[in-house]
Amino acid sequence: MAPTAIRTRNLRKEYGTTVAVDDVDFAVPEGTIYGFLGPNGAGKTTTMQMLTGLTTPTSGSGTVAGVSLDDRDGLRPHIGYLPEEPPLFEEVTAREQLSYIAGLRDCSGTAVEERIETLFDRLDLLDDIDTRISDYSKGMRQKVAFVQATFHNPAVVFLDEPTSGLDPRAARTLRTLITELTDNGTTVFLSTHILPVVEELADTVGVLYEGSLVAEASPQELARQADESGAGSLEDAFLELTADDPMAAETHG
Amino acid sequence: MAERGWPRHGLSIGLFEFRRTLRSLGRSKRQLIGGLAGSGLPTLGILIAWYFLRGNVPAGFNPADYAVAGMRGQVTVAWLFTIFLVAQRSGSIRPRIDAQSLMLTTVSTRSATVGLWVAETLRVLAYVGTPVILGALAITDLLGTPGVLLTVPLATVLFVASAVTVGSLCGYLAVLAVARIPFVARYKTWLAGSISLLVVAVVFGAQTVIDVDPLLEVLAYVPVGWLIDLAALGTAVQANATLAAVGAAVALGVVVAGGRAIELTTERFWYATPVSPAGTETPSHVGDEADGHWLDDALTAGLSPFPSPAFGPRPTARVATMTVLHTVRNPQRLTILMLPIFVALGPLLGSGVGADGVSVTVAIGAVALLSWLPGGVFALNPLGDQQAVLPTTLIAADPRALVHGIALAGFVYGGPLVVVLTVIAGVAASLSISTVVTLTALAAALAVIAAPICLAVGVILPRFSAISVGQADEVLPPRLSAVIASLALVTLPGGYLASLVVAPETAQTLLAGVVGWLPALVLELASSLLSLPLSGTSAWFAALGERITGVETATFQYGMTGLLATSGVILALAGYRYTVRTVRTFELA
Repeated sequence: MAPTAIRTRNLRKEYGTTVAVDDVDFAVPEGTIYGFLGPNGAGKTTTMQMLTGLTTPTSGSGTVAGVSLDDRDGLRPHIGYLPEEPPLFEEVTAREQLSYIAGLRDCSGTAVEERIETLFDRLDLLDDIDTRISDYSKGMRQKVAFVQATFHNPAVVFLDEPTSGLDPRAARTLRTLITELTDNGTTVFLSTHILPVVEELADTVGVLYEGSLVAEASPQELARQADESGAGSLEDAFLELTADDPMAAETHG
Repeated sequence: MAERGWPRHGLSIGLFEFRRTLRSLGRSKRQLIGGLAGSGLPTLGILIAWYFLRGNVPAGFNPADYAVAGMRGQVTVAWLFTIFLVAQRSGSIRPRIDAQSLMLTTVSTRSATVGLWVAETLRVLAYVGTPVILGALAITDLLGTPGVLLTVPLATVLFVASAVTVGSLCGYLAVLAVARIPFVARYKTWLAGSISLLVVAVVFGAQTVIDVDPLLEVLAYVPVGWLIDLAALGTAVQANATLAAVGAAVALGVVVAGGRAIELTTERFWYATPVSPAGTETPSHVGDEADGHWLDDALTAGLSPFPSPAFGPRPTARVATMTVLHTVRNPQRLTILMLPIFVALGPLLGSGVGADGVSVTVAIGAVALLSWLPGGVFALNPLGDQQAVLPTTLIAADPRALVHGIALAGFVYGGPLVVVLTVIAGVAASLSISTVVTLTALAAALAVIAAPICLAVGVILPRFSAISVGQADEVLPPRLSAVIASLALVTLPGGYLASLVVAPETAQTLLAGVVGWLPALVLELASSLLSLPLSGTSAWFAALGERITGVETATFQYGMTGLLATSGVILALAGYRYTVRTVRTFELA
């Protein structure tokens, strides 16, 4: 059994009277990909922000790479985070952006530079590395943000809709890169609405609905649960698990 | 080629855009207050004057004794100033029509251009309309001249329409140059800053240093200035009807010819593929195999040819460099800093610059303002300035590195400026060398203290959302409240410390007045007017004032300096600790 990279116990976040995340428990083994699914407003981003130390849980606890969630300084060297909106300055070039973030992480040296250049090259972005972000398309921004979140080989990477805005070729390259991350021991926490991506990549899938973790299993197991005949898909499972009215899910399926 | 019915389309677009502006006023308290203050105060002044003059026009007053000839130059100055303001708006806030792709596939460029022009003209007229109409009504009522109800609004509309035309044209030409000329695109910050500084220097210089009468005489020959003759035609005031007609014709000509020029400009700008300002931004040596380590050089190269504030540990140095780069490439965010600076600078220069040269008032003011400037420029919105990058910064950066880096940017760039300008101000004020040295050291020390104070104010009063609309959505200036609070915390004690150096006796009397005699006077007045039993308290404050002036000047000077310096250091340390703690524990909403 691989050591645990992410573990939460009764993780909960309230905003006033609204419960955004409701006593969530899960554990993600090291070097695996955890697909985190849920409809809009289910609490996925809030959960990711708590796991990255950017939001304090109302109650409950958790660890990432063995570091408590309330220790942001301790978490910092071990994590990378790609939020839904690419966190980039508009007025700088990709090279300057990476230089800034690498500097904040006190990373330097030829090895880091080569890794960044390799990632840019594989994402077909090397020729535009000295172009300002403001001149980038959505997909190009997404690529830079992915490199920014992963260049320092973090133990755990949190990716929120990483393939958003990417063309099919770039999306495939990114999926390959995500798989390679786990080959090197990195744990990937992947939140996306693109179910085939989760189906292809994730070792385990957690489905969050109205703040609660309503299912957790492998994509195949979830699909099987949706239709015992074996003809079900992850999409069927998702619709069934997140439907207010189970009959509605059936009609979708 | 314009479509049939373009005037109607243009008018329709203009009215729609104007309605959007009015709606946005309802949503933006800041804009609403600004608008009400700008338009409401003159309106109030006119109403008050009207109220008091009604039935009380001096017996010997005869409008025919007065002539508008002396006002023509001033009207031209106002026209030029309006052009400057409109040019800034059209160049920075509204260089394009909103929903451009929709609009330009629906109507012609001419319709869109006319729409923007109509909307901007209506905005300016809405601003000046109420006081102008009220003024015309008041004149009619007081002097019995109903003709002004026609001539004053007509002259105002021509004045505004022609100024909006020329201002819009200037703004569009500026953005066209940025879009088409790589040199302008790359150095737009410095070019725009230089032009703004030039305008400010000319305005303040004209107000304070040079004799403006010859300039006004020359400007009186500009036909737009003759619109004052048109406005005065309906009264008995001496005005030239021929000049009024020529002025109106020229203003109309400016609108027609300028309108066509605007259309030609927007056609080129809106459909142009902008040149990349990056171009050669990153020097070719970056990434060179021989040099290696582009990771360490990229930001520094981006600042070239300006020096990088890259000192200390790598994270700190990188924050400092990015802070400066961010400011250099995003200068609009500093606009809000200009307002209080100019508000303070105007009276300061007015009181301090005269025929005998620069007075000590300017030197004291220089110390107070300059020491605030580095913190004010770089440190007043440390979290908001990270924009969308904030989550990554919070995850990647040690809070101390972020705080140190921002402060370092101010020290490296602001420090030499503070020293040099303080020396210049001191020497210009004919202060002794020892006083100049002391003032300079004081300004430098205050700048160091001001940085953490500004940082703390910036995290207490952050701004995360852009305040402007349209094309300026990305601009994230510090909050005005943060600017004012930091100015109060830094410049007031700073200015007082400087006055303790330059004029300790005056400083002593000032303090006695503020904390002793002034409250005593107020209490005494309240006591006598409202029959309140406050005489004893008033006497206590008066005695306090006397006790302050009774202290030996040298003792007061050193005592107050020590007290203020200690307080400043404590405040700075507390500000630093608070900022680091806030960054460390900051939560995303």
